[in-house]
Amino acid sequence: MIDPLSSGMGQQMMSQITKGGMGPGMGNIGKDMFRDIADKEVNKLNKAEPSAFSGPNHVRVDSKDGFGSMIGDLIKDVNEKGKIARAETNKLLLGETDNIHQSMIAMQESGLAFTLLVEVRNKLVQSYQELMKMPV
Amino acid sequence: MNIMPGLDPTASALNAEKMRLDIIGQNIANAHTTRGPDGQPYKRQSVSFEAELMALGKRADGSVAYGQGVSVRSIDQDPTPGPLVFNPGHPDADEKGMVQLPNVNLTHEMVDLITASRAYEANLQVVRTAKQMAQNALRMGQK
Repeated sequence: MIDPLSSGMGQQMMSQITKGGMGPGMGNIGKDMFRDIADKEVNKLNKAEPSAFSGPNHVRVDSKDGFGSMIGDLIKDVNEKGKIARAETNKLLLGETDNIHQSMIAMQESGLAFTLLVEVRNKLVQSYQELMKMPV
Repeated sequence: MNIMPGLDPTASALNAEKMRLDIIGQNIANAHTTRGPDGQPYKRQSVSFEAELMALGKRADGSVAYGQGVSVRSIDQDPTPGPLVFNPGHPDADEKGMVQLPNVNLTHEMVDLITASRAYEANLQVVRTAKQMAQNALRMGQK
């Protein structure tokens, strides 16, 4: 899960701030650097959508292993499990099978998958809030 | 994605035990059937299980992990002859007046019934425990 201080973004920020040295003009430079790095991270989350804060030199990062794809895959899996559960229950109700435990197991799995999705979303929102709490 | 791991053998065992229960129920129901569709008295049936390899998932190095599930190999008939009872008035009595009853021993069937139902419950407990383990892991994220 994302940990702002140990992720690439935090390290980049720290290295750029220490490179530039501490001075009275640090404030504006820091803000621009922060904006660029924030653009990269936000693009990772938004997949291919351009962010509202795009600056002139923002970099679009390939989001193959970003959080956007992770959530997308999870949603697809949850949907698949839900379909399997519904199909098994239908088979049972139509009398094509008399294995009630199959449909129960399928329903439990789909419930657990959904809980996992909710937990991932919670963690994501939590880390986003941690990020936003950082003073600029 | 398999959230509750290793449940394929358990599901196959539940299927197998349920079939065993069905056969036991059929035996008990036909305990006094003196004429079947082939004209013979009912012969007690029993199931035999065999192992079935099922893919459980991928191991860390990419190879597929195989588990051992259960499948019903065959439903066999018990060939031992049933008891002969002297009942000349019975429509199925032979020329000596003896009627052959099915070789179903109700006591044995009841013991098999209890065994099958306990095995079914044991497998259900495995499913319940696996679900609780998964739920505990998911609850780790909550405060």
